[in-house]
Amino acid sequence: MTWHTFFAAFSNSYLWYLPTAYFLVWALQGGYLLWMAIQWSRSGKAGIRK
Amino acid sequence: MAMQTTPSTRRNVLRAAILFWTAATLVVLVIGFREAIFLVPAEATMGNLQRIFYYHVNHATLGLVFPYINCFASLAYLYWRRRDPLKALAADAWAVASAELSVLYVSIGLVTGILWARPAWGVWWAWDARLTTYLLLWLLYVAYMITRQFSSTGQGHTLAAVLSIFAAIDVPITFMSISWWRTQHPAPVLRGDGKLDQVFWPAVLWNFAGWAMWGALVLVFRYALERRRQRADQQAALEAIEASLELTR
Repeated sequence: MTWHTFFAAFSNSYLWYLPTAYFLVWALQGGYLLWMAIQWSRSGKAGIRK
Repeated sequence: MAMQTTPSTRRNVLRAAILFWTAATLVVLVIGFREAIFLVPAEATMGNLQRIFYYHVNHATLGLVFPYINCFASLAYLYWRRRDPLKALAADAWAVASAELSVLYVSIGLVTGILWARPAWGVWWAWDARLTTYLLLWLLYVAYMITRQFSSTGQGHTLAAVLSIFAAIDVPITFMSISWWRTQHPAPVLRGDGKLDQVFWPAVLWNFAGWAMWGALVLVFRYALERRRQRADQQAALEAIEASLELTR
């Protein structure tokens, strides 16, 4: 597979599941990490004692 | 002669270790992606669609590992909660961190499995033993999170710890279900008769290592965040007590 065929798979009725699955994984993992980073920075601003 | 370490030295060492681990994780994930999409050949029956497998199998498997961390942490919490509340708090932080990771990895295992099932089987879902017990595991952890989040009596953490034991019982049943019963889900492909061809293993192993390293990193980060929250709660409670003492004077 190449980058081209990977992205082109989005418009293929049989293959669209493949890039969708990969992007969903990145979105869920990245989204969770981002949520934690936001919580971390907020808790720092709230003046958490160490 | 033993070297003395100050808190700031320890913090710098920890920061360097986390940076190194993060960089190594990203490198391994990039190698894993490259192997899965560009390097290993397409599978004979399903073609390129089979490449979903390289993200599905490691998330689904790691989704069976984090519940055990959660179970051990929960048992430690139940043991320490009356004997040593400070140790119980640390155990509870590991418990909530691993529970959230369990929800995340099992959710991804389910979603990627569903996206595999539709083109491969012609249906989004099949109520076979593997899928049903895996869904049950997800439901148990959602119940765990809801119990912790919405219990107002202070018993939520204890009830959730008990739920984690039920989840840990479900894990080996889920793992063995494809060997014990005939299922729509494929029989074991990493072991047994239908073992995966050698040519596909680099993609499996690199992605497994990458997502395991990522999971460990996120687990530690979530634990640190929970410890921060606990310290803030303790401090707020102390300040409330001090304020009430001031009023009584």
